[in-house]
Amino acid sequence: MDFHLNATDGGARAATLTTAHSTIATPVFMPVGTVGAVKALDAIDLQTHLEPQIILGNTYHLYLRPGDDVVAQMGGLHGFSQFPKSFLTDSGGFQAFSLSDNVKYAEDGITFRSHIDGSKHHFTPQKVLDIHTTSARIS
Amino acid sequence: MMILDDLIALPAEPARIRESIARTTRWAEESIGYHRANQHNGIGVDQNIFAIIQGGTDRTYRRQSAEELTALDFDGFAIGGLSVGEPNQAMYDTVEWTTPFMPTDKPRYLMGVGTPEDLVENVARGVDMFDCVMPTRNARNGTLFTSFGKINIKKSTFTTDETPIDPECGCYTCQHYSRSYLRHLYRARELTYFRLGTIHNLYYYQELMKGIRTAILAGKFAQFRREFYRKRNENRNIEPTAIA
Ligand SMILES: [Zn+2]
Repeated sequence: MDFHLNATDGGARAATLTTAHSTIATPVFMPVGTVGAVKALDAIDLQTHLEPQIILGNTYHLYLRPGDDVVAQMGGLHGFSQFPKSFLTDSGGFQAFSLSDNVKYAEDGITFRSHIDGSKHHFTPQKVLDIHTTSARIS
Repeated sequence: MMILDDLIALPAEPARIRESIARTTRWAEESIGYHRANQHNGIGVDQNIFAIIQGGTDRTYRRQSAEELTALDFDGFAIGGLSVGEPNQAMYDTVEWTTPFMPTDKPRYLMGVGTPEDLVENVARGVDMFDCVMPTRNARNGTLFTSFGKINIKKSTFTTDETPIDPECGCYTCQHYSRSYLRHLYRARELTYFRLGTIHNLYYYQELMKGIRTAILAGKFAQFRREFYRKRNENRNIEPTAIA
């Protein structure tokens, strides 16, 4: 990733962020595509009407459903969703915190119950990165 | 990709904030070590890793968290734990206290923010990246953003209104459909409305950011900010633009 500051004006900054998938002009607002789609739209809508260079995805949701291994098998997040630009994937810390009934913080990570089926899960810093890289790659 | 952090509800006791910072830093150390080792072995080579600064709305704790995390080799840094119900000014102050301790040569991401006003105010405080469910969620609830503030498409005043949502908007929805038609679709709970409303609101947010960027490049951000508020204040009669 390359970050190039184009200009500053007071505290405000304009920069260009180059990732493996897109060139992002900042300041940027990233539409939220939690489960691999921006609600009510598909990737073609995005590309045709909005042309965002980056959207959000969420590993907590993708891990619980359909499973990061399924996403990897189906072409990775880019291939699966057909959105070819950048994804910024959130870790799920916030989702476990806000969606799960009894999230427990331990020294090595967090334990929570799925908001979908109540099943119990444990996220460590390493496990979260494994989910990120698995859902991004094509297996 | 964002790493695992220890997020706390606000307001929080100082002891809980200290615990959150310590844990967040320790997990960040583990994360960056693991990711760089993975990359060395060909895993996640193209992926960028961001740490998340915590510290509630406390100036000293935010500085501490920022200093601990920015000492580590992350690709970018986020400000987390805000937009969880604290007053707007507390969010703005916290961002203002935090960005001076973030690197100038790496992206700064404010998580889960916010309203159009929040975007303008936090860009002024040095933030580069934002995300929020607001434009998409509000669209689905009938709240549409415009250059003169928000409108609620449900209102009976739009029953036979032939104009687009925002006459200044260049989006697909505003190019093709009237407020009257959109109001009708919304009230009929027609799924098509969700797509059209979402396209408009996201387009508004994208255009706002483009306008901000153009102003910064021209050295006219202060002017842009004044104009942004002037247009909203002129149309107070439409809808107040407070947080939804
Ligand atoms: Zn529009």
